[in-house]
Amino acid sequence: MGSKLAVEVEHASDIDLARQAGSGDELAFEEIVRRYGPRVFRIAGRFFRQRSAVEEISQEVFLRAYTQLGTYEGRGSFEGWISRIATNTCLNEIRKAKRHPEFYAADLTDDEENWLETRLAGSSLSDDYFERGIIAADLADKVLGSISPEDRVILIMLDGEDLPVKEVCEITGWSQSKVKIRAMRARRKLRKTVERMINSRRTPAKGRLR
Amino acid sequence: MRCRQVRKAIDEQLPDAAEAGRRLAILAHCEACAECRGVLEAAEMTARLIQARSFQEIEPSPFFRTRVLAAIRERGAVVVRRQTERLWSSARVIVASMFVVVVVLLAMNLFAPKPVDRIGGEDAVRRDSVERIVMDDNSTADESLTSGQVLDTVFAQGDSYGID
Repeated sequence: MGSKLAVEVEHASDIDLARQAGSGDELAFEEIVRRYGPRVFRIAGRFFRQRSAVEEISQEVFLRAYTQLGTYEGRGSFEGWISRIATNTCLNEIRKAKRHPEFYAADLTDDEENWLETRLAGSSLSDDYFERGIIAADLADKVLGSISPEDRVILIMLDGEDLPVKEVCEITGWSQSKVKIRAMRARRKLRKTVERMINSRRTPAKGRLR
Repeated sequence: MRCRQVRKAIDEQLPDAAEAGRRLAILAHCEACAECRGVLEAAEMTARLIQARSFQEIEPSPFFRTRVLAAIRERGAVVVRRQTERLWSSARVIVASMFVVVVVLLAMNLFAPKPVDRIGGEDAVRRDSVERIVMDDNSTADESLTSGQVLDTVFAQGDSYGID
């Protein structure tokens, strides 16, 4: 009986699951968590890097989704609906936590400086190791930390994950023109930060740069 | 292309992703212009950093679903507790006023003067009254007297007052 119910739930459509879960069916909501857990984790991973933080915020996303199930009317996709909740929850959490700090080239660790030097020298020998490793991600976090969370997530989605603009609009709930303009401004801002970082490597006498 | 156009184009899209004609124009300009070459280099570096940051994938642990459901139940319990607290806070005034009424009634019962029998007056409670002696056969004070003796006494007293 139980396994039959589980199979039914497994094959149920998103809208049916949302209705059942909204009326208190735990099994239905468990299926929603199973289906969209990886997606919510991926979204949270754009904002946070530590597993514990990602898990915590993902849990909060599902708690919010559970309490807001009544507002889902099935007009858009459930995936888009839950993605928007996830994005907004993460943005709120980041806004609550701190203001985005200024980036200083002098804050780079030795490893990050080495990565930068290697890249600037045009070496591709260690690309795989460096670019997929923690060092580049750490440096990226520092640089991306200098722009607003909204700009950061747009760049990660568009330039990092190569998502189409339409999908980014669905996730964020913003218009296409807003996404495009915001992305261009964010790229320019970030590019200027990186430019200063590169220049400070080439002319270290300039010292601490903003 | 001018420097301004090149920089705007770079911020919109890296040359690698741009269409062939546009890409060639940007690259040709950057060959000749050191400043724009620096801009292109920084833009490429930026793109690499963003890709490096996006590489990380975290999958939900096998216990994640259990944790979420436990948190929902816990939050449900909290909601019930909050509702009870809210209910109690609104009912508090009523309960307190009921308590005050009960206390006042008790105090009145204990400390207020005893009610007096309006019909019989003081005589009604006298232990040695005729009616009491006649009606209360179990009275300890008059255990030795029978009802007949009492009646004899009463009639004898009546004779002395001239009652027929």
